[in-house]
Amino acid sequence: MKILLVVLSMVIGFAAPSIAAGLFPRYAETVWLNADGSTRLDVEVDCPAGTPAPLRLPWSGGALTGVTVSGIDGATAAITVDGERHYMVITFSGSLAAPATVRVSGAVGPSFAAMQSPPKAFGNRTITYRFLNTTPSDFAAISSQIVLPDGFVVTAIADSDPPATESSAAPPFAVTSRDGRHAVSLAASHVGFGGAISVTFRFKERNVSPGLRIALVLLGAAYLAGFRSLISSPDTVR
Amino acid sequence: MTTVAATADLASLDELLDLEKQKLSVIPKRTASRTERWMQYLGFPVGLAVFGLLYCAPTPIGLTASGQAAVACFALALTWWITEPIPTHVTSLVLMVLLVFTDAWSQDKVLGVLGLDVIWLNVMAFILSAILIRTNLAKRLALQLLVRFGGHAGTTLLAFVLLQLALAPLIPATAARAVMTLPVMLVIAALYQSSAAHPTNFGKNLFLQNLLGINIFSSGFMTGSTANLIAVGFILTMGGHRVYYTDWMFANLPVAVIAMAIAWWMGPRFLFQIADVDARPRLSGGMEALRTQLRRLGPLTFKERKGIAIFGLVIFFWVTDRFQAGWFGFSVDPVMAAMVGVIITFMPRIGLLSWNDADIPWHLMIFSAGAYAGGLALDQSGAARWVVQNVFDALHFGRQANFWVVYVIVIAVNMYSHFFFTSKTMRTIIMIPFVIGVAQVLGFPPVSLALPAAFTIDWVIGLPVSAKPNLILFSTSQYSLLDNLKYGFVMTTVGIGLLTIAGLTWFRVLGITPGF
Repeated sequence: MKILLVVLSMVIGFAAPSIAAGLFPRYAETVWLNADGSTRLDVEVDCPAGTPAPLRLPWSGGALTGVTVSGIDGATAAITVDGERHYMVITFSGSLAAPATVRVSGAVGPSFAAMQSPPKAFGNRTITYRFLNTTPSDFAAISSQIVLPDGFVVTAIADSDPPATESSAAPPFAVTSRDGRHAVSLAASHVGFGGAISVTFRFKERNVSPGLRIALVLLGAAYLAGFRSLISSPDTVR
Repeated sequence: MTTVAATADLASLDELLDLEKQKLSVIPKRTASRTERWMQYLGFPVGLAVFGLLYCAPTPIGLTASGQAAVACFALALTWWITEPIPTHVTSLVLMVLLVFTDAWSQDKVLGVLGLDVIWLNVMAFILSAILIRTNLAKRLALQLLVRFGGHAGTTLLAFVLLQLALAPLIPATAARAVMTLPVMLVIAALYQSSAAHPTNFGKNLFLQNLLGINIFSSGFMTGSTANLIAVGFILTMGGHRVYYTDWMFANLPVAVIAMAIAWWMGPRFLFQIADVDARPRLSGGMEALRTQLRRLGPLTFKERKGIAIFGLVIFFWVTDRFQAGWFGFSVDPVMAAMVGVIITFMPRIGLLSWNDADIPWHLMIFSAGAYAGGLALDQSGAARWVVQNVFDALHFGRQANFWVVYVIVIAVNMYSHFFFTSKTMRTIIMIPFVIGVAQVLGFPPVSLALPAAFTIDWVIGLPVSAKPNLILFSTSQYSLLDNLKYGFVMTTVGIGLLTIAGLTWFRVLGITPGF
């Protein structure tokens, strides 16, 4: 039952000419959803030696505040717009002398809309996460993790791309955890130009009414009291 | 005087052979034993407690909330199906409602289960089965079988072993084999005075042994079930080893045959002991009365010939499925083949039955629908995969693990896992990749674990909902769910032993398992 659709689309723009058609061994991002609606994004990219500056990374649009960059000395990050495409551009001097892992972290906006609206049936909210590679670069391994607010659980995976088929040994997604919080992970290999991965899932705050426990106990007790004849009478025809 | 006595014998035999009195659609009234009554009494609160514990616990990492709810609902239903505090079909309805109310599965999916091909096949199968009963074909076949095999429990049961072995390579669809032999079983059971209202140990052996035979003879052939082929596909794509038809048959057909021989010997002696008095048909006229009855049937009647023609057409479709794409451009699914037979059966003037003659046990369809809903919810919510993964993780196989210890555990886990799955295909898709993964991590040839694990796929004998033919045979009420569970547990344990011995000997000769 779809309640509210929030699309977090991480679009990789056309890469800088110097890294065009390059191969990045790994791109990983973690989206941290918080109960107050704020969202944090962590990105890790393994860059091969010789990667020239600037480095363009995917960005869905919107603001990025409180940015921190690590892994490359003196690197800074900023959001730029090129036509309709948004990029997170990592600037540093020269090119990388050795392989490095660049890490970018910051708060993203607009706020996480699914948390602003009242939940629907069974307390469920729905979210769609999508990653699209519009660069000519290949990513040997892409992994994404969407971490739910504390106290929330994944209700069900509704859809994914690539889809989970009967012949596949394992689905492309997994229900996982990060720092004690429930999460959904998605992975794919060799995502080239135009390649995309996505997952749609429902989640809700985990709470079981105490009334249910009481009702179960009362029902069990009522049965034991009301059906004592089952064990007292010698013959029972059923 | 002799004439009067003979007439009386025949009258009572006629009564025994009157299957109209054993309508599958009518739930027989049975007296519950003391143990059964205690199970009923305690089963209800135990089921609620199991549900409460599983549903109210914090959601484990890796499991969805829907999966957790599905596990809780299925556990409650399983407890109630076994202990029967309420009728099994009512438990299924409870399960279906709970799946929706706990957000384990959506309402449209739960209700849609009644339209699954397995339900349709069962409905069609019961109608086709009615042909054999209405036309007296079942009576004729059963009398011939009894007269030929001497009318003793041992030889009668052996005849059914041979019958199922002969049918298995010809008709891959297990439900088809069940529906063909069910009416004959009913007549034989009646002659041994085992009925739905008063099932005897002979009846339990007869039906449960056939249930075993129908299922495990499929494991003797790679094409015995779709799940077998899926397993072979995984072994090729993930394990890099091609398994040929003869590889499979040479390896596992002997195991299946030995297993049936053990079941035939063990069942009447240890599981459901047949008293001497029950070991022969209880007829005052003895075997002569049966011969007389067979003579009285005379030559095949026109109705019987028509029944054979309709049934033969359906069997033709079932047997020739692998050639049909070449002949017609498409394959006739077993359900459609049965439906064609049913259409002809109900045709005015041409057919044999009216709707009122069809004996469809709808309570079993409801029971079955609930069980499938629970099983599918476990699968689609990811709960089944999560449980299997945790089982394998909990085993903590170290790098230095002994192959044979791992082998036995893998076989046992695969074998017993059928108690929690309602589909062989689902079970195969989830289990076999895990087994291949375990083999690769530990450095064993994947085929050495995955192929023996695949040989357990068709051992689906533990519960009435474990496979299609199980439900068809369960409809006779000749055995209880607890009887099924007991027989299934013992025989699957025997199966684990046999596959272990085969792994140590025969499979080594064939190069499937490694040497010491």
